[in-house]
This record gives sequence, structure tokens and C-alpha cells, in this order.
Amino acid sequence: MGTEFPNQERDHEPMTENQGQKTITLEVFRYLPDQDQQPHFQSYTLPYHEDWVVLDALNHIKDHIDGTLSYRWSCRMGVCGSCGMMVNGEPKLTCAAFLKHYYPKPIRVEPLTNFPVIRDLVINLDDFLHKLKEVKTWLIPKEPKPVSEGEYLQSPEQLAHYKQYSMCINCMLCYAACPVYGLEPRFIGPAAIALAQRYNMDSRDGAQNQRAEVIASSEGIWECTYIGECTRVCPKHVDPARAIQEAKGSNAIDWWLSFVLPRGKT
Amino acid sequence: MTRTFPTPAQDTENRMKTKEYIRPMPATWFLHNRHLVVYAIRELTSFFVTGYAIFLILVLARTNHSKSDFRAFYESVLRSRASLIVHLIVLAFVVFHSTTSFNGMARVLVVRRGEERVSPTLIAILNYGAWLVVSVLIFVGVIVFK
Repeated sequence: MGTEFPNQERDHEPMTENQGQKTITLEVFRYLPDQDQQPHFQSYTLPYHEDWVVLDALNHIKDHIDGTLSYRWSCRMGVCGSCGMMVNGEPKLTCAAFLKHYYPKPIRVEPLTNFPVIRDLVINLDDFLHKLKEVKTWLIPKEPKPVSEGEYLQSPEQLAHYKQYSMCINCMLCYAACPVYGLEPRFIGPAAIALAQRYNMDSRDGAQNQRAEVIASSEGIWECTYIGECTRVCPKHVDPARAIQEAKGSNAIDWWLSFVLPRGKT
Repeated sequence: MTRTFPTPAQDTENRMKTKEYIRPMPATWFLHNRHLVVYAIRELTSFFVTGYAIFLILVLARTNHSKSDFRAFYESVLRSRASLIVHLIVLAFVVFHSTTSFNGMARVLVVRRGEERVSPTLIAILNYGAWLVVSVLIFVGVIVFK
């Protein structure tokens, strides 16, 4: 969701370009905590290249126009998940958002919504990282065994059950798209629940009950109203909305089983 | 298990220390894009679905009470122009809500054949097919047992 800051536009910074060179304008969210009380948008005009992505444009600004601009990026190939930003109001990996899809209109770049802004396009990740830890997004074997006894084996069918959820790159676009998280920041959120479900569905894992204490709590799966924005914006097609609905189903079955088999349910 | 989230007061205090900027959620968030508008309509139509379900239960109760009682109710209320208009509106909302539910179910319900997932489109087609068959059976039943 785009942010409006009326009358906050700063001076356009012109850049001398070769005559005939196509240009594109980026309106970038700026917030310098040591100087600004409120954020503002700053416009940069830069050369347009058809094969550039928004991240290339930001790097051009940083390298040639304004070195004070802050943002995160790393792999530039849709794997690290660190360059997620709002591009014209939509959560996107900027390494996968081509300028040609927006040209010749200006592109507005903002930090991911629903997160506190530390500086410019850099958000505070603490809440998300804390939630990942809470839902134990790692394998907790049913029966731990020494290395000498060999691997924990798994069939291709067993792998297929959770493989889609294991594709999550923690880019947090789903959190920026989720109105539930925006309205209730205590909501565990799409990626953390999808990753919890990834381990819950892993045949080698045995910690479903431990995770259920968090994901079935009042801030967990039952907060989700199946809006589906998380799935729509996910660059890796993880489908967190489905993971949450699946978790609701298995949680409801467990709840009923606890009456039928009060001591038999594992 | 003890939850370790900071309280809202601690959260605000921590953020103020670092002078982080927190953007407010706009009250019109559901108008941000087409998908959110459809979601908002889906949620609103659920009130009509619930209301009409209650209404149908009341109609059934009258039917069971006595035939003449229901006939009087049918002539005075159900056949009125206002009732027809309300029914048309409710029908549109119920169809919209049912459609979004069927589409949503097709995306959520995972049926596997070995490693392959059965296509959500196929599940949706089966849902709509079952809906059609049940509707036709009810319609035929109404005609036959009138």
C-alpha cells in the first residue's frame, strides 16, 4: 500500500544525459532519522535501459547521483530475498521488477509497508526474525539418532508434500501485502506459518505439537481471514495462504481428536 | 510455553529510541487494489448468506407448522414485489459468495496422485458440477412433489 506524504516533495535532482538518451524518473522514499521528522519523496531522473530492473536503477542512483540513499540488496537474482520494496504500491523483489514494465511513467519506490522504517528503504526485520524463531523453523527429528546410524530417509512422495513451502526466501513481501499483519502486528504472519507448515509436513519432523502452541494461538492461523494477498505477491509461488488454511484444517482435526482420543493422540 | 513478544508499550518505546518511522495503515486499505475490493465484498456478502440461511430456517419452521399458515405467509410476504427484489439481491450476493468460496476451496484443497497434485481447476469443476447436480435435483424435487 503506497504512502502519501502531501507537500513533502523535495527538489528534483536533474542529471545531465546525452541528447536523445531515454530517461526514467524514480520517486524514492527518503527518511533520514537524524534529520527528518517525516519521510519525503525525492525524484531522480536517470538513463533508461530496457534490460534494467528497479534495483539497477537504485544502484545507479547510489553510484552516480546520491550516495546517501540506503537500501538492502545482495544476490540480484531472486534468491536472497533482501531487495523487497514497494514498487508503485506493490511489494516486489526489485531485482525482478523491470523498468520496461513501468516506462515511461515514473516509478515510486518505498520500503515494504507494515514494517518500521530505519532509514530510506531499509526496514526493521526484528519482528519477522523473532517470529521465525518462535515457530521453530528448523527440523526437530521424531527420534534423534547418531550420525553413525545414517541419514533420515525420505521418499519423493514425502518430499512433494512440503517442497513448495520450502521455497520461501524470507523476502517478507507477503507481510507487506497482508492487511491482517498491518492491522494486527502480533499476527505470526504468512511466511512464518508457511515455514512452520513446511516442517510440520516433513516426514522426518516430530515437533508439530511444539509449533502448534504458537501457530494455533490467538496471534496465529485463526487471525488469517484468507485474503490471499500473500500468495498473490509471493515471488517464489510458495502459496502461504494455502499453508495457513491447511494448518487450520489439521489444527481443527487435532482439536476434535483430542476429545475422541484424549490420550492416544500423538 | 511463554510468549516472548514485547508488549505494545515496549515495542513503541524501543522504536522511539531508534527513531524508526512507522507508517500508519490507511483506513481505506481495502480499496488499495482490485483483489482487496473483491475480498471486502466477499466478507460483506457473508452477512447476507447468514441472514438468508436464518430466513430459510424460519420459512421451514412455518411450513412444518401448518400448510395454511405457510400459504398465508407465502401470499402476504413471499409473493410481494419487495420480497422479489430482496430475493434477487440476496441471490446475487449468495452466488458471488459461493463462487469465491468454491474458487478458494479449489486452491486450498490439495489432492495428490503420487508426487503430482491434482489440478485446482479440476477440483473447481467438480465443485461446480456437484453444485449444479444438487440444484437440478432440488428443482426437479420441487416440481415432482409440488
